[in-house]
Amino acid sequence: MLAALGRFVVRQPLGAAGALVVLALVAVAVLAPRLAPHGPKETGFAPYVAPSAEFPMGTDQVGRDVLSRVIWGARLSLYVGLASVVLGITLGSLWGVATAYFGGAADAGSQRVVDSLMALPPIILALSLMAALGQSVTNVILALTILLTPTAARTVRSVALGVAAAPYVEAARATGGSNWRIIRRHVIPNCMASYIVLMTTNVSYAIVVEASLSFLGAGAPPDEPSWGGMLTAGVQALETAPWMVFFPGLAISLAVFGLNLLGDSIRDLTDPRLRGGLG
Amino acid sequence: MRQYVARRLALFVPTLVGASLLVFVLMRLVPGDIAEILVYQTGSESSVIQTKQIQQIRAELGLDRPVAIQYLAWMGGALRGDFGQSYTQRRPVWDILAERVPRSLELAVLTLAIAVVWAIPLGVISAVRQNSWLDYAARVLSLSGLSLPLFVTGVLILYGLVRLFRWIPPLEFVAFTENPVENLKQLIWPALCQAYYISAPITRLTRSEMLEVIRHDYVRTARAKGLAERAVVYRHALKNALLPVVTFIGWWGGRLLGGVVIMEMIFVVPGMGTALLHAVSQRDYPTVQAMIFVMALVFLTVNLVVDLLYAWIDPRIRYA
Amino acid sequence: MTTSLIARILAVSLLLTTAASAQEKPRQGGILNWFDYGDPGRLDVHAESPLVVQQATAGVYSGLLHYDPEEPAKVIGDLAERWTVSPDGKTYTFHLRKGVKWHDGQPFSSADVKATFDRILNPDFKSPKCGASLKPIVASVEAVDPNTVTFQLKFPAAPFVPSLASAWCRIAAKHVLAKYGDLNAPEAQIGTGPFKFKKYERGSVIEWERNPSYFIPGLPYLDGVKQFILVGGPTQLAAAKASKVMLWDAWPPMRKTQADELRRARDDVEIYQAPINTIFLIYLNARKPPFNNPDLRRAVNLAIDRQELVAKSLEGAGVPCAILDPKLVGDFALPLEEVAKTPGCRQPKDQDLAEAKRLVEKHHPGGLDIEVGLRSVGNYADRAQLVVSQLRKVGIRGTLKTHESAAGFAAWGKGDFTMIATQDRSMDVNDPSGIFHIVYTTEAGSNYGRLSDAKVDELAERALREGNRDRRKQLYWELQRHILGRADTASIPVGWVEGWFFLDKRLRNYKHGVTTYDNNTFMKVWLAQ
Repeated sequence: MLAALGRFVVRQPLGAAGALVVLALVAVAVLAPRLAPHGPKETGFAPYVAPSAEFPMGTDQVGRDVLSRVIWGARLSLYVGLASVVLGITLGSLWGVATAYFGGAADAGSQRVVDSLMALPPIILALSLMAALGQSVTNVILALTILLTPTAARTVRSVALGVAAAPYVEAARATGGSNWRIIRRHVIPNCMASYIVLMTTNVSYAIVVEASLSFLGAGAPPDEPSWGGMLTAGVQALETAPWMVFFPGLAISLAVFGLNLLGDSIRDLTDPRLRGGLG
Repeated sequence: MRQYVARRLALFVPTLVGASLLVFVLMRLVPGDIAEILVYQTGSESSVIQTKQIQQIRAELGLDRPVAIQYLAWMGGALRGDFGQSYTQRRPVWDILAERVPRSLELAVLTLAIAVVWAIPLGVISAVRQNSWLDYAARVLSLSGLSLPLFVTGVLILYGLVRLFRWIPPLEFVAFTENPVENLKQLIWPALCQAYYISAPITRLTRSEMLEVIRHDYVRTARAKGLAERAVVYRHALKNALLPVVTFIGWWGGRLLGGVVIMEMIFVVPGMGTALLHAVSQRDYPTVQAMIFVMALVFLTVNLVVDLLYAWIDPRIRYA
Repeated sequence: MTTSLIARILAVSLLLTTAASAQEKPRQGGILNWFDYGDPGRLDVHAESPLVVQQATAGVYSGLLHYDPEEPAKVIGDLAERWTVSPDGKTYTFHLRKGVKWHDGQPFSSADVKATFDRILNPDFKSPKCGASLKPIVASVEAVDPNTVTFQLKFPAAPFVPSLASAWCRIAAKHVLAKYGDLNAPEAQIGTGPFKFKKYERGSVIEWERNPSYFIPGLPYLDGVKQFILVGGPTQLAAAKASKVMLWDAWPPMRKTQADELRRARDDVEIYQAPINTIFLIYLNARKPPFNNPDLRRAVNLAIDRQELVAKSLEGAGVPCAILDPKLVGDFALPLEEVAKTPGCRQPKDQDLAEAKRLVEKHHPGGLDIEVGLRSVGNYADRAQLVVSQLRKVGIRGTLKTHESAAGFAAWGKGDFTMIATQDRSMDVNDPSGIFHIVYTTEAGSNYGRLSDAKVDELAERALREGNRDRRKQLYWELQRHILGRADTASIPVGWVEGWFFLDKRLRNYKHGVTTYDNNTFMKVWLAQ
């Protein structure tokens, strides 16, 4: 086990770095209540205090500790990112697999729905959804889920199409295996690699989209410690309090880097086409 | 081939209808309509007067008809090319489209041009020198574009320009045809920002496609045979590798043509993005419907064109 | 009327003219650059209400009366040379200037005034600013002869003259209204004002150019005015720092941090603080639980620390607690020393907080959970978070519910809220009647909480019709004391908002208007070298 890990680090140093960052992120998110010196919504301190011993990342415009909010923000961002991706990608993947396998009119019909959804500009779609549902963390997750489902459906469908046409699946069908069993035992495992890669890249996409939604006033409620919300408030006072942009910005960047590098490495390892170079 | 094109074009129709229906329903799920917004945003008149005014405005605009009728009426008009009047601007939606589309188009073209010039070579280098420090550097560099939300990068650039050079891009939009220099002085910045952002996925895709192609036997043999052949084959390899990338870029182009709201806001570009945002927040249904329709149409068309290009270049591709 | 306001405006203008001596001669020429915070879309000054519409069209039109550009608290004639009032105070006769021409060359006459007010006062015509102020007061308008117009009022109303002078009551041309039907189109922007409407590039810029045949010879000094349309604080501030704009918009005003940053970036600007005739209110829905219960409304009234809200979320730029601001309406306002002793306003707050906690406990032992609404505009989010943290001290746990800006207004209008954490209301006219008829009477359009208080209605109506100034003042004092004393209102006055603004040092003779809407014509403004 340790040897395998060692090999991973040597062969995919970027991926290892990414994995480390992601692990750190998860740790911070899980341990937030114990790590953060203050509550995420706790006001009462002086506003715009520069980073100091008492407030290592300074305070924001309402007088809250930025360090605490960045730490709690890890929990929120990860929660939002993971929840929407798990829901969206999973739903989309199942959708893609099912329609690919069953084919026919159902496939054609559902493809039109997917295409219609994908033809809509994503930010506007998300904005309208937020306006319709109301601004809350749950609804951000819902809106992001709806955004992510069609892409996953289409991607996984094309992979699944390839798998469904494979001879061994034909054989399994011919010998009378139940559809569900075939899907479970053959189709899904072969889509796993793309599934995992989709997950990692889309978690970072979800985090960044939530930030853009915050800028447009439609993200998570402003008192929630979302990194996007912090950046939105921070750019209003960029020269006065650059730490309000620097620290959440750093946090988001690290998250994006970590997740993407990890995802890239997993893809490199699992996708047979990509192994090895010029020798 | 012709059959394929005809089939794809035929699929436009249900997709566009689907998209317009989705938007129609979504806009009606969003609370408030233009009548309520117009009347309630002042809050000066008594509530009795307000109620009356709301009814009046709804009757004027046909918002008191059953929803299905409203949709059919809109669809009927749209098929004739009549998108109706904007509720907020009181002028034909068509005029708004004609004004805004060219700006987003220009910005999209600029963005793609920059992104391609920057991202593809980066991806090629990454692939050719896989797992070298060059590869790592290229991947980190391209990823950095994704790492910050667009509005942060945009504001940083704006403030950076002001702080360092006491200069800000032109705040007034001038068409390229009128004054190309002024126009570019304004648009280059959002284009750079956007290009930086979308280069990451382009680089990643270029890299993985190149990696796949490079492994093929003909490349290995060419390499073994010598320099001149290697160059010829690399060019061939590159061409094959780039096809999926071209598709991907086409996909992005379709998206960008819809205008990126945040960039338009920060750099004061009066394009489709801000117009759509404004229309949505004011519940200007005709404008929203028409813009989404156009954006969807453009998106589908660009994807079709790119797919056709793909098929034309590589006759091995079979279409189910 | 308002000696304190005049004194204040004079003080500000003295400050603004320190860079140049008063003996400086106005210089012709130059273009003034500033910005609008949004795109107007429609330009009909009679039918619209957002400030951006006013900004886009102000210099193009003239009113019958207007606020003196050099003494913004004073009403003087614009298209009317002089006016007389009948002894019973119900008939006003305006004598119009002669020889005035519209921008398209047509002659101006009383027919235009009549056409304008027939339009505005038409009960079926939606005019939320001028119409809303004048319709309750004016019975009819007659064009006696080509140079004379009379207004017949329903009763002698003190707010009539200030309302008529409002920038929203501009005169439009009869022939333009006949041709275009409304004033929305850029082509319909034909006025008699100092500037002609030159260009409207939607989403980008609005331009005016000098009217060479303006009826005051020698004016305007400027060659033109250019307004960029800049959405979003960062871009606006960047434009100011890069010297692309010469003054700051009336709304939203700069925050202190922005003002400080600008001061550090440029040394060729004057930065000043000014009132914007806008009040910061907290609303409670008096039609449904929990705030249909006066005890709970009182609890919130007592719990809110207005001074802290002004100090933190307005960065000290504001007048806490007052229903009327002495700086704006002079002695019609209750003296601030008295206001500071009313329940909810008293400092330190221990007594008030204790009583509030008690009231909450009495009806909701274990605390009360409510939804607190706000629109996502400006720094409302910051204010709302402060409000929520203040309420927590008395056992009220609020969850923020953010509304999209436009949808928020619809929600407020329909009563779709429990509590509104913050909603600013800008006065249309600088008159003490404004706040009461807009916010406090039962039928008032911005009485979102729909609290009905017969005494308030009665006093407000009597004050509107009272001709004698001293008696009027007594009525307004009684009104303020009534609302502040009971401390169970559904529209809690947190404070009058002020803001920071800047002026390019080259700009001369610009005076801040008494409301956010007035004095944007730049008629007498000029640019030094």
